[in-house]
Amino acid sequence: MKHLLSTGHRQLEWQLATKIPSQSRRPPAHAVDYTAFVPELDETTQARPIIVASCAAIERASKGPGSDSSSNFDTLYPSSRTQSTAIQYHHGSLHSLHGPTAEPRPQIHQIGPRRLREEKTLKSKKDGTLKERHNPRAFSVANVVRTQRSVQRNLDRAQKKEYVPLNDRRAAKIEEGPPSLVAVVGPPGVGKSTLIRSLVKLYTNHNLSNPVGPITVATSKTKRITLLECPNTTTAMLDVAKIADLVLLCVDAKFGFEMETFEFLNMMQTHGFPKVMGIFTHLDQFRTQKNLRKTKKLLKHRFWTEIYDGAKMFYFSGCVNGKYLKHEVKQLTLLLSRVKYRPLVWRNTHPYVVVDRYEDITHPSRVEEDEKCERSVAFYGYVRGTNLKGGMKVHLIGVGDYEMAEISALGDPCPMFDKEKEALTLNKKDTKLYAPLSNVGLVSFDKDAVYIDIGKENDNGDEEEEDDDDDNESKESDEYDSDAPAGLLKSLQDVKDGVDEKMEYSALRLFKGSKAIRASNNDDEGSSEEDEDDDGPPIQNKHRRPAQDVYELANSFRRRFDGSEDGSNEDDSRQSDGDDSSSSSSSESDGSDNEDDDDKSMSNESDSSKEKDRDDEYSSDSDSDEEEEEGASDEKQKKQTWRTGIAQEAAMNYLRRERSIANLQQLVYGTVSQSSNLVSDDEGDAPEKGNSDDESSDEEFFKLRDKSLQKSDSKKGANGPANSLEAIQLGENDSSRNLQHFDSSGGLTFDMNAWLQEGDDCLIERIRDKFVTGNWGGTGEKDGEEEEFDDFEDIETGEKYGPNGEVEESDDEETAGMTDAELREFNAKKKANQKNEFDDDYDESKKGNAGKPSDEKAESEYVEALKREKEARLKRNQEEFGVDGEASRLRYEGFRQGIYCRVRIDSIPAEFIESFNPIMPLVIGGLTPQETERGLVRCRFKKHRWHKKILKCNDPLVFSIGWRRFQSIPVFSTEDQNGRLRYLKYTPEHMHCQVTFYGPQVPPNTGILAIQRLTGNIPGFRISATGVVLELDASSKIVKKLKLVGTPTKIYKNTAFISGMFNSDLEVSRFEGASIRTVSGIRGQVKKALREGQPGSFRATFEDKILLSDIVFCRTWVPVEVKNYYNPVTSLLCKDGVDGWRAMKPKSILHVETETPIEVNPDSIYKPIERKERKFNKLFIPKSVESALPFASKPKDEKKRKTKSYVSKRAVMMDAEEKKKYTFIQAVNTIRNEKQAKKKEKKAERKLARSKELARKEEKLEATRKAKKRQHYRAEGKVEAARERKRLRGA
Amino acid sequence: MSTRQFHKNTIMTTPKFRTLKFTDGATQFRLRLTTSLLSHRPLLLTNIRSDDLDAPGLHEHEASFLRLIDRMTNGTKIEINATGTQLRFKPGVLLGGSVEHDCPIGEDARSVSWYLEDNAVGSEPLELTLNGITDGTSDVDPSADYLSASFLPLYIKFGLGSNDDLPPPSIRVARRGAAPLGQGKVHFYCPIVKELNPIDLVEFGKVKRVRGNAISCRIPPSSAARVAHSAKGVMHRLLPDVWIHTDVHSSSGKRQKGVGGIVGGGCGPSPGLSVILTATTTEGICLSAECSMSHNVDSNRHGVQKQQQQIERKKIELPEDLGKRSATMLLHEIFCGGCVDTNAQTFALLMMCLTPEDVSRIRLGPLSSYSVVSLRLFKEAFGVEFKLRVDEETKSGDDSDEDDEDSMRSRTVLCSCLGVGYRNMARAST
Repeated sequence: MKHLLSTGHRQLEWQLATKIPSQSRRPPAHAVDYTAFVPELDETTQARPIIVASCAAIERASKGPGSDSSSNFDTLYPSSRTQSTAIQYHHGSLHSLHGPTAEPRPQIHQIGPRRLREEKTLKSKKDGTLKERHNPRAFSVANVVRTQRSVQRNLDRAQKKEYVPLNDRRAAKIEEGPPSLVAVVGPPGVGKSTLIRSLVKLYTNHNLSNPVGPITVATSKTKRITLLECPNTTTAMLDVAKIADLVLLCVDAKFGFEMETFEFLNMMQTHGFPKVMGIFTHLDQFRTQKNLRKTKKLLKHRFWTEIYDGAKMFYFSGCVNGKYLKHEVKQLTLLLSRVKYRPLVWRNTHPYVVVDRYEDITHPSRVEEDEKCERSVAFYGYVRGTNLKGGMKVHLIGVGDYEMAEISALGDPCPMFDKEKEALTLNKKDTKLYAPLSNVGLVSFDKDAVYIDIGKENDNGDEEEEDDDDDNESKESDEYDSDAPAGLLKSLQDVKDGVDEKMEYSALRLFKGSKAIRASNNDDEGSSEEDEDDDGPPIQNKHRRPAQDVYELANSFRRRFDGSEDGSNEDDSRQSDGDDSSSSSSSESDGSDNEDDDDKSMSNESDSSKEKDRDDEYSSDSDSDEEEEEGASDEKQKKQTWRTGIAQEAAMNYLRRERSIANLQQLVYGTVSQSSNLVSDDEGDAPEKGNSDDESSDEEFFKLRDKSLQKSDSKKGANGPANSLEAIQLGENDSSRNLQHFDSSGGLTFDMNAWLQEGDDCLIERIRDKFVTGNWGGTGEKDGEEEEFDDFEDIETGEKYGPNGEVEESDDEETAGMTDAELREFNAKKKANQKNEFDDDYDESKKGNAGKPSDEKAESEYVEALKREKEARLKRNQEEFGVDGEASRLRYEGFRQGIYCRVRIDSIPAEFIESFNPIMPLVIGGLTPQETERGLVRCRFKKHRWHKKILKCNDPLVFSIGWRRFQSIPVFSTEDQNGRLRYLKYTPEHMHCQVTFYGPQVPPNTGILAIQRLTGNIPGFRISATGVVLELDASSKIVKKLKLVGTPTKIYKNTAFISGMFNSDLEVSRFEGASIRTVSGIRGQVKKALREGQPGSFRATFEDKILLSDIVFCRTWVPVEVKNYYNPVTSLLCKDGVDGWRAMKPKSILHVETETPIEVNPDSIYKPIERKERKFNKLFIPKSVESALPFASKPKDEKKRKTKSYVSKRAVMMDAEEKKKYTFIQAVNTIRNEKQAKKKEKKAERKLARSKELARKEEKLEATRKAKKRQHYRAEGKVEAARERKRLRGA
Repeated sequence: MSTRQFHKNTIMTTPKFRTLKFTDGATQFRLRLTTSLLSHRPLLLTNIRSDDLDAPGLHEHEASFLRLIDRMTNGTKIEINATGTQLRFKPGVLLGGSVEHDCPIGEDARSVSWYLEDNAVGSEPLELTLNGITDGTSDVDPSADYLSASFLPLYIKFGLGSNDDLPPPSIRVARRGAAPLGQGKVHFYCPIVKELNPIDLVEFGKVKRVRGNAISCRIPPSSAARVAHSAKGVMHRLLPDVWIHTDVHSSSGKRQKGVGGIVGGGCGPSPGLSVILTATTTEGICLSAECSMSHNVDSNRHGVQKQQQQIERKKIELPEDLGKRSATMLLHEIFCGGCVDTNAQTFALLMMCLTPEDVSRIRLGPLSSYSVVSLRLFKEAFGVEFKLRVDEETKSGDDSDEDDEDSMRSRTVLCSCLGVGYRNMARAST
């Protein structure tokens, strides 16, 4: 190949040398066109298009003067100099051919030479010179049309791949976001719980006997997942489809797909399609390998058609010890860790919380007074989706719309691991599990209360070695309901051993303090470990954890309760008393309600990077004593002082610098604590803290600034703009033209004269720099900003530094004081910057390519611009509030995703508590202000093709839109060509229609799903219809046709009096000018009401005279009312779920249940039409007309003859000859007739015989057919019955 | 299911909306109505001029604004008590479409822009035609020209009119009508968008050009030229690229060629002289200032500070002074250093509240008290708290004489917020 190419190039050179000079006068045709079709190349082979084009051009040119030679040669070779450059290029490209870019060429060569030869022979014949041309590249675009097509196709494919970038509001780093929600879905009996159990066992080495509710598991150092099993009810499936990030769709391979699976897929489709993986279980039940393979293939293809070709699937063959085979589950986990999630539109615009657990925090006395009183309930869970804001309205799915009474951030119960640690993988003791509803953790916290549940649930499965003490206790206190504290108290009083001793044996586990599980080297732990070794309990993990937890709990308690000493809640103090000997006994009190921040201080101690933040923010209000104590107790912190010191200092200095913000913020929004009671205020306290510890040498760096700030502060205090701002009063004249600025700076009042002054130091000179004419080179804004930078910010914005030597030094300086993690981060940033730079350069050079057609370029630029904007937006989102303290961040942007929060909602019906079922998913969905209102929603709608019946207008349907599911009454309509919405009685069978119903408003383009009946055992596909929201309005525009019918009473020429259409003159006057029509199609108009006659009769004119027998009708459109019915599916308020929920029933069901016959409108019954025989008069032609008619058309009214005419009278005689002939013919005819009759008879006989024969055959066939049919239905019925049984078993 | 539970359900199906309640009467009347409309929260205003014995209750222009809102929406419920001192407002769905509205005229009337200042997005492109006063009230209300110079660029920055199918928003003065008698006509057109774009306006850039328009109605044409000349005189000290058109209207009906070459249409019966200047920076930021010859001296209507100016102006202001005043006002706006001018602050902040749940940033000059009150309103209605940060501009390193200059140092405020994700739900998708 190399040889071939090189000869080709030699050829080219030769050609260039010989031909071009002569050809330059007669330039080749289409040279530039070819360049357009040359596929895009990378930089290394940049030269190729030119060469190819040139070769093509030369080839064309050599065809001689006959070819259509337009003039583009100069564009390729603008001067003679370019010739040489072209050749140089080709050398360059030759070099590049040795590289990897040479791959695609052989194809070109294959096409090339043959054509070459053909053309050449032709040409050589023409001009008599035979030249050998081997240059294959000259013919890379030999076929214009084909090349054009292929280029077009490539462009089309590229276009298809292009998509408008969707704004992704998820956390930038995985570890900042919430654990991804992995839902396990499938019909009953397919092995969902087994799957969860096996996954949990694999991840945490923990045996869950009964996985219930969301189970959060840490899967790696940066990833967590929440496993959730979806029960087999429609409501739960709907909810899960709305919240799941990844769905593990379990299918019993032995049984095959079941309807639920398809239903769930459809639900997901309408609510944004999360990722789906198929899990095929029960593979061990196949007896033959062949059968197994066949089924696998069948299932795979069915699954792929539902999702996409190549969707991931797993085959689980059999169980061991109630869990799937380890290596198979491991494969699944491998893929779980690699899944990438796409942002889904609804979840990208709405916050939601999948509730891990809840606490009923109603005051017990209130419950005692009235059992059914409205409860205030605290819900706990990770915030997902967008930011959850304090004032937001939420929808508790299955319960209703509520205001959040309170929302606060808590420490992460399943925190990420320490990044400082060198280990790349998780240790065994690191593994984390948080499953409050599965009875894993037995201590639960509310804000200021602790519930300990040492119940029977504690010893599950593997833990028979549990101490007896626990069992004793468990009998006394079972649950952490409202009376638990009493029982707990009792049990705590009764104990023989100290709690700390007992803790070592018991499987107590605290999720709140679970962060503490990190290996802290306190004595307690060591001792407990020793104890363990002595006793030798088999599951070390399980036993070690409680001890640590207790320790941490103690710590956190101390911190929490130190502040206020009013011990109102006895249980807590007892608890902390007995908790830990090392913890101070003074820590006995109950946090007051306002101390939200206390909760936060309990959180993640192990995470040192977070630590500094928290310390700054949350513990700022604690006094110095506490700090001391904290320092003493926490050895780990001591170790890290030098490190945390830097970070703390930096943060503090930053805060100090930021104080100006706080001030303005306070001035505008009032004091922070006033402005929001949801989060603690930190800014106000920050300076005190800053003053209290100044150990770092960096302190001085910031001193100057601080001073200046203080100065300005004092100034502000003196001037008192703060006060003036607090008390801003606008007059009632409502004018925005109020030139009094609030001065954030001192005084900035507009003074005309000051501006008109002249001189060097006048005002005008001051703003000269703001004009393009100014001398603003030296003192730009940039410099000013850079002055403000300090070391701390440099770390943050590492991009300031380029790759030159000086910068390296500075890098070194910078990196000198950094910890490993910081260093790593720093390096990562630097790397990212370099990558960005390279990308930019690369993009630009790509853009610089002249080869692209302009519109394509524009298009790609458009998409690029969109992408760039999206990225800029993302970056801004992350950076703008990222640097602020946690509390202020919560205030500005609400509770961002990944925060573990506690949402208190008051006025939740008591039924919720009574009928709580932990297996049902509980979701709090945030609503935007618009979505709280209700109105008429118009949607595009289509009956699902698998649903068996068409839907009837005004029959209630359960809709699932956004977070909600509710019952409403739909009205179907179709849009006519003129935009009119015409009422439809039923949905079309295979077509879209529109539906309008009364319900909560949702943004257009949201998917909807309709189900006729949620409950009951309904065979077949339960989802009735799907659609998408089009429009919201307060009134509907649906109309229904109405024909008003009247009859003429009197007819003049073109005028007629019509009656019976209206009932009064008033009605007529409303319809004056309306168009009317007779049945025969004569058009007319309503004129005026008549005085006399039947009321409502009117005069009308027509385009022609109408008949008295004509019926006149007026076509009108009446608006159809949409009934305002909205009934949320409050399945969580009923003991037996959806079955307990009372829904409106469709009319047909009511008919059946009440045994009412269907009412019949007698008008609608078809009766035999009785038509009178019509008598028509004889046609009468006037004399004058008759005379004018031609003779042929004249009526011939001959009088009836009395006498016969001559012709009829005369007798005709035949002569002999004639008679003979006549008789002969007669005889012949008779014979023929006879013959024919005989033939006919025979034919009839044969026909009869044949039909008999056929009937006999048919009978035989029918018998076999019947047998076959019967066999078929029998088999079908069996399958159906099996399904039914299965469903019933699961329900 | 028990009957009790059913009862519960019914309670839940009629959730009570949180009402925005204000007891200080007609303060920020329009903005409160607009926010109520946008946040879908009912509004209750009490004590509307309840202690004003002469004219208690809503004024005519306010009633007119309510009528306008009623016409622009579907499902709005407005209840006013007998004395007009209390207003209960339940917002409906914004519609759009073509609306024509007559604004009252008279001594106390407000210019059409008063009605225009806060507008929102409906389901159809909004075409609003307002009849009334267009000029001459720039002390109190912005003029239509000001809105088109200052608000329209903002509209576009927020992504209104970025739709290719629809023309960009526009404000067109079809006919001038100076105060007090008005009779002008303004067309406002606003396309629809699904949602706004978040903005990032922090770079001020450098002022590169100043454009202006001196408008005179029923006044000798030379006076407009005089205004333009004097304004140019001030601006030329800093920038050569200054161009001020003169827009002269002699009488209604007749069309006449203005001095600056602009053809002026007819105008209303009242005389008036006003000027508007717009500075454009290299970053595409437009700052505007306008002022007009006051038609009546009503010193009680404005603050104390205004009063002084009013007294000064009692002597009839010369056109030259008007020009200078406008130029210095513009300089002051530039000095303040915000990326929108002081009067557009509130509008920009409101739009920022409505952006999708992304961060919007803007650099403002010193906050006007109107903006401050608006910020509080936004927090209450939308729950959006802005992050406000004073960004001090260091002036050529002279920290030494900071104290003396403090009054004359411009400090901009960096405002940033996370939008509420307002989506135009009324817009039908196809």
